[in-house]
Amino acid sequence: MFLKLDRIEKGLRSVDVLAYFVDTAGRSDSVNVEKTFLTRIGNDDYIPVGLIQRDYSGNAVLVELPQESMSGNWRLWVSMTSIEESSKKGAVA
Amino acid sequence: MILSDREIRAALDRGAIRITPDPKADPKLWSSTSLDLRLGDELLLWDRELISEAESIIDLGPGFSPNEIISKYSSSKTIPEEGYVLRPNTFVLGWTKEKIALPHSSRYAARVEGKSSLARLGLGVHVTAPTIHAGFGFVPGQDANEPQGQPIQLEIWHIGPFPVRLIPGMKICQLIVEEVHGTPEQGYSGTFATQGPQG
Repeated sequence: MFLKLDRIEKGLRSVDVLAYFVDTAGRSDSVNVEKTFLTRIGNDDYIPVGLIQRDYSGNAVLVELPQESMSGNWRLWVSMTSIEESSKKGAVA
Repeated sequence: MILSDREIRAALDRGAIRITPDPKADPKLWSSTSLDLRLGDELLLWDRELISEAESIIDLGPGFSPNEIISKYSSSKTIPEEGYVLRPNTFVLGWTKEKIALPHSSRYAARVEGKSSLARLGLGVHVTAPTIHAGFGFVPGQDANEPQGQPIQLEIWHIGPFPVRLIPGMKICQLIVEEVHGTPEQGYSGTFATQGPQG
């Protein structure tokens, strides 16, 4: 399962990016990962996440990040529309 | 339960632990219950001049963003072949050369710990955050034979009396792999929420 990124910024090292995403409350958070860790699906970049819970009534998914976020979070609720279940991996420039 | 060297190798062989580059070829990296990891070639150095001119208190309340502080007050440096001299009472960020992936279904977590040979000189490699959680660096659907995983970030501090030289590729820390009791929730396909998102 993959979480769609809101934006990408320069990371801590030359090979890293700060991958930003947004939760259901509109809060932005990020993880610092190597560029090659991102997955390109269609025209968007994604990071792999683990699925914890689905809340169909709220159209939300509780996911676990691949590492602790910059603000100290591991899990967050995100919109189902920001989730891609496909594992097809594309190249990221 | 801590894995022995033989169990770590077996887990590498079946893709339950993934490390790039493959450490199995280098017997000098191994001990009975750990695997040495090497220092990558990039450090993040704090800019003392900028820091001295900045506000001296960092507010850790809501909205705290370490990446903003790090990007504002530090710069990346490629360690030259001859090494980088770390002075006493300094702190830098570094990364392992090896990239690690721990598929959550494998039921393994790990810890990165220092090496006693370096600790005797006053060199530490993490600041109370040694855990590599189950699922770290794992990309679902990725073939086990592909290079993968993420390097481990090291918080390197030096409190010894003498400057030390950090060399890219030197053995900087050790990885200790532990079994996780039970499969973590993210190893399943998810359950229905009993409590949805709030605020």
